[in-house]
Amino acid sequence: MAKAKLLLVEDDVTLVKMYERKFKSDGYEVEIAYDGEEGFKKATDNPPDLIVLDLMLPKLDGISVFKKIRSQASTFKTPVLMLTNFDQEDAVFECFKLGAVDYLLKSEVTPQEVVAKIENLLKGKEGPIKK
Amino acid sequence: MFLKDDFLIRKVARGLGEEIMSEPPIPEGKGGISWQAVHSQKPVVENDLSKTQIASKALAEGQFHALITVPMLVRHQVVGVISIFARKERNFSESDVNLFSVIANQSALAIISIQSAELLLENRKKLSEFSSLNQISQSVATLFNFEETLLSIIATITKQMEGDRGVLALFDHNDKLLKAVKPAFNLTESQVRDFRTRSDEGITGQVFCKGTPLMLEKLNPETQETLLRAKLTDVKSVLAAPLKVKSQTLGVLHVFSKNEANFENEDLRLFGILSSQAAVVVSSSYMYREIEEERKKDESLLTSIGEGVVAVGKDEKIILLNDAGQNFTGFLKEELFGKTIYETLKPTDKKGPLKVENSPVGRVLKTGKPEVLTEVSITRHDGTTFPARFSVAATFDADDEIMGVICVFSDITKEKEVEVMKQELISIATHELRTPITGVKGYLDMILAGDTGGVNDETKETLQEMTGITQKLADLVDDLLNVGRIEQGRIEYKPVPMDLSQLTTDIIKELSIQAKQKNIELIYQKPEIPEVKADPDRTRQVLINLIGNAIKYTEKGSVTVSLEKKDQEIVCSVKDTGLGISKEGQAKLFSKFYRVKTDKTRQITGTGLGLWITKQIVEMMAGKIWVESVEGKGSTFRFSLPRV
Repeated sequence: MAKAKLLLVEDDVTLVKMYERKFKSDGYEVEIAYDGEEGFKKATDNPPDLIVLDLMLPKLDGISVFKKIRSQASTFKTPVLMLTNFDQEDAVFECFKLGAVDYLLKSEVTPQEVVAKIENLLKGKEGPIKK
Repeated sequence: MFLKDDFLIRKVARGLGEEIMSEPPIPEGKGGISWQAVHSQKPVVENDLSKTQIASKALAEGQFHALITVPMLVRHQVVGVISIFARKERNFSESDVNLFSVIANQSALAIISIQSAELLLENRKKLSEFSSLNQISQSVATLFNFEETLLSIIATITKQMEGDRGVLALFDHNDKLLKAVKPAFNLTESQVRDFRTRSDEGITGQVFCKGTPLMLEKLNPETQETLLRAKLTDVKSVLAAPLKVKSQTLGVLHVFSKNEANFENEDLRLFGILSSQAAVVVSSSYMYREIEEERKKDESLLTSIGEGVVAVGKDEKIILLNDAGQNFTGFLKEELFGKTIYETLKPTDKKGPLKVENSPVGRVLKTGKPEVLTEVSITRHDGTTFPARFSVAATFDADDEIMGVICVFSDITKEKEVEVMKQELISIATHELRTPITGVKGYLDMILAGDTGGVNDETKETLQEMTGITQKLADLVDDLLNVGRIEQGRIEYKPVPMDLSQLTTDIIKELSIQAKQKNIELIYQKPEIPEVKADPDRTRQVLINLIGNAIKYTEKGSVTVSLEKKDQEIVCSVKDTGLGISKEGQAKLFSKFYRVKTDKTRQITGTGLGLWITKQIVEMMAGKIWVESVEGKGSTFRFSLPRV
């Protein structure tokens, strides 16, 4: 039985495959969106338990997706985990301001660590991080 | 009397009493004999003064009988008049008039050349600079043509002496010869070229050495030889006088005649007097030429510079703008002269328009220390702006006093575009690199974790090796990203009070695994020290880099980290027992892409960016970084951070 439903918004096919594989092998149901617009649509059409969101995305950038998701009643409270390689401080600050549960740098964390983080977040062991 | 504006002003008087000098200048409207000479440009002779109304009281009382007033002419322009009075009854003859006219004109030339020389001398100080140079030498050049003047002097003297040819020989200090120079009166080019003599030879040498005028009624053999060499075959008698300026003899002026015994002793004295005027012109001409050369050099230098040059005086008013400056700004130099850069070019930096009270120009005028503004926006004539690099340096006069500043600026629009493109390229490339590296690292991790099924120990080892390599690749990409950020000034840091000793403790703990693997002792004793003001993340980067390097470059022994309080700073030392760095290496150690290259370091990977980044970060936080090292014995890296 699937543990929970994740929406992965990520434009890089290789990384999508890798994370999808890891998430699925750990028992998650995974929905994929390859650009910002698709991400927003899938998030609102069928709200997941958690959104894993990249920042640099085609069509609509991650911050805009985040803002739109937050403006919808159905996804107002959906936890959003940032998983990106964009490490400018103002972006980090902006995401936390919007209520991101965490901000992970893809190059710094292993898929194992991402899954562990998601698991903790969904179990409620970790709440949104305040910075 | 000199002519100035619409007045004749008395300059010198002899034998007329002192009162005459205190009389007011004569305005043009008043007329009189002097003004008559000015207007007619011809000598005025009055042989019976009793019939004439004399304006000057002093002169009227002098009871003079006759008067001659000759205009002083330079290139058909009257510069003044000379009047000669006779008390006794005497009629001025035509030859008197001619002689006085020659003297007056010579005097005029001499006066003008002295004035020019004085003007030049006065401004000589300024000449090392470019300022008024232009105007001065141009005005002198139009006012006064030295070559023409000299020729006219030589010609009139020759004619006055009833000679046929006149030539000037100047002493050449290089080959110690007296050589004829142009212009010469009635000599061919080749004659001028070939007329030369030693300073102990013939009449020329004699006059030069003795410093007094001499006359040859008949040629002596030595003189004849000199003249024959120059193919001056028809010379039978010679007048020669030294050209003296102050006590220095510059050369000898000759007048030749084709008749024997053409000159009389009486002529010799007058010739001597007239020659001294030629000397003044010659020496001024030298000075002028020298200055002119300097000016041309400066001018060509300025014109050839591709960068804009604007010079301002002590009052901050613009006195010069070169061609490139005109092209960059669209201003003509005439539009800027006498104005400040603030009201015209409106240089503006990040903080806003530069102001008179607090501008680099003002500072440099005070301190003399050059300043460079890496980016200033400059306003063009049409109101548009362009980004420029702007350097300001003081100019000094002969006494080392600051007399102005020179600003050199160049349009950096293109450079900036290229720089932005380059940075974007690096940034995109490195960002793009991060993604596949993340993929490789992620998959390796998943395989190692057994997500894809079990792996045997050997495979595991290989995969761990691969993980290490991938990590290095990722570090390299990070370094490149950091360089880009630092260069664009995009690296952010927030200095806060922080406990450096605790941070060091944490990092030592982190790096102890690495040290253990290499069997290197990592020594640190946490001291009690005041807090520093620094960005914790950046400081962490610095410590990891320095301690990590120390471990990397040490084969055996230890790495010791210590902190100490020094004045207003905390100094951190990282001492290793590693390879050490040569003196040359130390000098380049903190530059970009530099790596110590020895047989031993070849095995050690790195980008050569770490220490450069570290240095940039330390300096950004108002600290310093340096190294002490002995090859083969080890190195100590130290950096300081300001205390709270």
